[in-house]
Amino acid sequence: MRQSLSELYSTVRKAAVGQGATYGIAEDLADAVCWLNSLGFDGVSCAVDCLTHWPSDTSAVRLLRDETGLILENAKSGTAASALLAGPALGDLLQTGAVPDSGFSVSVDVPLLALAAVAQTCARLKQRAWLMIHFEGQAVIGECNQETCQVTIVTQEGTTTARSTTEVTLWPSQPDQSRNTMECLINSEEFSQRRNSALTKGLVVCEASLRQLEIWAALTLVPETERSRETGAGAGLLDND
Amino acid sequence: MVQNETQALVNVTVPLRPPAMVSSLARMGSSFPSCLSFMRLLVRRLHSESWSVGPSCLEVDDQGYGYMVYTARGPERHYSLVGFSNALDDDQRTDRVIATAWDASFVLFDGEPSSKDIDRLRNSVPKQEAGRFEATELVLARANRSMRLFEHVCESLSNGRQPDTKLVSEIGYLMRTTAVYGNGKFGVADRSRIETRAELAGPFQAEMLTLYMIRMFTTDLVEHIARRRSPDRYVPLDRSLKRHLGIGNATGLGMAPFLVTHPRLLNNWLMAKETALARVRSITNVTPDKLERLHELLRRARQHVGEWSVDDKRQSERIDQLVADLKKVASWLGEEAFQVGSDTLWNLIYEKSAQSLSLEGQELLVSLLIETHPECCQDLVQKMAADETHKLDASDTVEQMTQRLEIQYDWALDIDFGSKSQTHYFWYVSENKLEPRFGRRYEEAGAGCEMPLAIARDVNSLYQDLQSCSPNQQLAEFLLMYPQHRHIVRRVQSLDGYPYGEIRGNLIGTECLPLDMLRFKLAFFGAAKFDPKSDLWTRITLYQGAPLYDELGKADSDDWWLPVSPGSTGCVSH
Repeated sequence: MRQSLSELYSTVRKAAVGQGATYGIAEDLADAVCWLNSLGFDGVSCAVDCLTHWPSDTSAVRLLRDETGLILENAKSGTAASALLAGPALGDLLQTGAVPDSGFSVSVDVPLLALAAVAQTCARLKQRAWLMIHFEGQAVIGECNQETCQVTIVTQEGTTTARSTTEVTLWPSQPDQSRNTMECLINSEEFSQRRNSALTKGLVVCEASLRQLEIWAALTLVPETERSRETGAGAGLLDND
Repeated sequence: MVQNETQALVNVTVPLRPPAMVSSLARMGSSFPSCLSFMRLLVRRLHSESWSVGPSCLEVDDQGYGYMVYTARGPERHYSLVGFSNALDDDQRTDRVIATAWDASFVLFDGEPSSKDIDRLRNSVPKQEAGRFEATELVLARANRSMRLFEHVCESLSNGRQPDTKLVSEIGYLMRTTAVYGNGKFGVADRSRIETRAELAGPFQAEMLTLYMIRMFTTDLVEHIARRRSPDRYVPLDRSLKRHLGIGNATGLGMAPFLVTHPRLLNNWLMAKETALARVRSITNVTPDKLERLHELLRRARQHVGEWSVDDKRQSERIDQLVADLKKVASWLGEEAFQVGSDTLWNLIYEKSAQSLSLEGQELLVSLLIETHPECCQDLVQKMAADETHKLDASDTVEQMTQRLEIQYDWALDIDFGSKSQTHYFWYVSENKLEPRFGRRYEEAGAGCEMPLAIARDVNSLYQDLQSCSPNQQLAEFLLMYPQHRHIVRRVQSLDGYPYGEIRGNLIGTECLPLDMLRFKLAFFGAAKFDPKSDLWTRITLYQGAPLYDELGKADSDDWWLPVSPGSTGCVSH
């Protein structure tokens, strides 16, 4: 099913608000989903996963300051943080410039959304960062370099990593991957091509997930009443003049 | 310094009017169109680039039902309006968003549609919001007939006579649009697809082109029906009457949130206008021909306002005051102090108006001064678009954000949101066709679904929570504790350097008149003859007096500010 970028953004934002997220968080989620879908990832289904578990099945994140810098950690050990909060928090943390070079890991329920948040922060603020996540059974690193993001599959020393599916690791500087095998999934050029195509042609989205988002988005609408219908918009109900 | 058409330099010595003055709701709600208006921008481009605009396909029956295609051919691209006209029962005709059928529906197509495209559009365009569209569709719109005028014009022309000039002047349009959608709505192309095109980069240029061609559609439709009714006795519309027919619009609340959700755009529009005004006010040597031009435009303005008649009591009183104001201005121009040779003559007039005239009088004079010197606007039109990508800088500290609020939002911090009168209203979207509405918080249900347009309240709330934090704390940490402020923090930071970006008023307080927001935006579109039907709704006319499509090549094709009725002494001629 085809959606324009603007439509998808609006639906996701409203769905998040309908599910209880505050407006700014909802905006960030909408941005992340549009970014993912414009690259061919199923951002819409990611949004559904994230909002389904929000807020009861997820934890928050908190900032921890140690001698190396600022990191995020899960507020509740053993429970993944919601990408709704963790995604923007990762982006915010990058901006402080206090993330240790050695990086840090945190558990996020929908890691792909965290990648989108970090990539968009880097694009907006002309920064670089690297984020490792678990995607379709493999470890991938997103190298976010200002407006582009190169996604690479990482195989550690001949094996595909069996890291936790929710673990994301953020580095502000390029991590040492000399002992790993790298296979490019999306290079910078293809990144730009996919984005441009999305801008001109719109996005193909998973219809079932979109329907779920629309159900949540409808929760932001006020039910019709006679009074609302008659007085809420200021015009008459018939205009035959 | 700025270059004007005589190659002399204008040294801008007068400061821009401050945001506290310009961005008040009351002043915004007193706006008038000017040469910076978007319709004027479009028509100037059509003229300067020698666009050819005209019908390319007419498939309508004797009653005028069917479709018509109009194509605008520019130097690099073509755009086509595909309009469908159909029968509509009177009990279905409403200007509200909740309507499900219309007299006519339209789409602006990117290029020239094939017969396959027409078939597809025939199925989807009349459904409007219920249809799905492709990226080849840029704008979606619909319109209803003016029942007062449409049939009268048909009947007159088919009987060999022209319609009543007074009625044409009073109503001003054969059809009025009731919604115009773009930017990705219902699947049409995202603005990002077209914003790099020179002809569509300016604000609302795709929509303005659509409306220009809809105007052609309406006059061609009425002539077609009249001709088919009585081929032997039919006469075409007199050109001056055709020119005086614009395209109406029924403007409701949908426009108002736009101004809040696009603050950089709002800033850039106001910045352009205020810069133009400052330039004009700084002119030291007013030439005789410019003074004569001002006199001419003032005569036209007085005529135009004299023809502006509405049912709304408040607006009617404002118009009466405006008539008196313009009479005052005319008498000033007879005084010795306001003759050629007076230093900064325009500034003298402006300052006198600020002391003596109503808000409408002052703002009409502002538009009049700018209209007298269009050369002061030429470079400014390029700066009226905006990138609304808002960035959040989490490295800022609590102290920095607090200072920002105290400087940029002092007007909001002064409001007591503990008082019910300051939270009287709420903006919301109805489940009924997503119609935007304005509710009373303490009398109606739905405030829990409030739209985030209460900027002053959100700023207030942010400020309170900042006070409880350490000044050196970074916002990254603050926002983890208070995620509800993420939206307003991003907004405030993004408007650094955009002094006119906020409407300086409480949009949920008892004093808020949504009509003020509608009028402001419509004035920038180029609309005139505001005809309020309530505090939330107004009718206006667009393109009244604009050159017809076969007049675009004429030298005076831009001279149609505040048009007057055909035959009157201040009439615009082509």
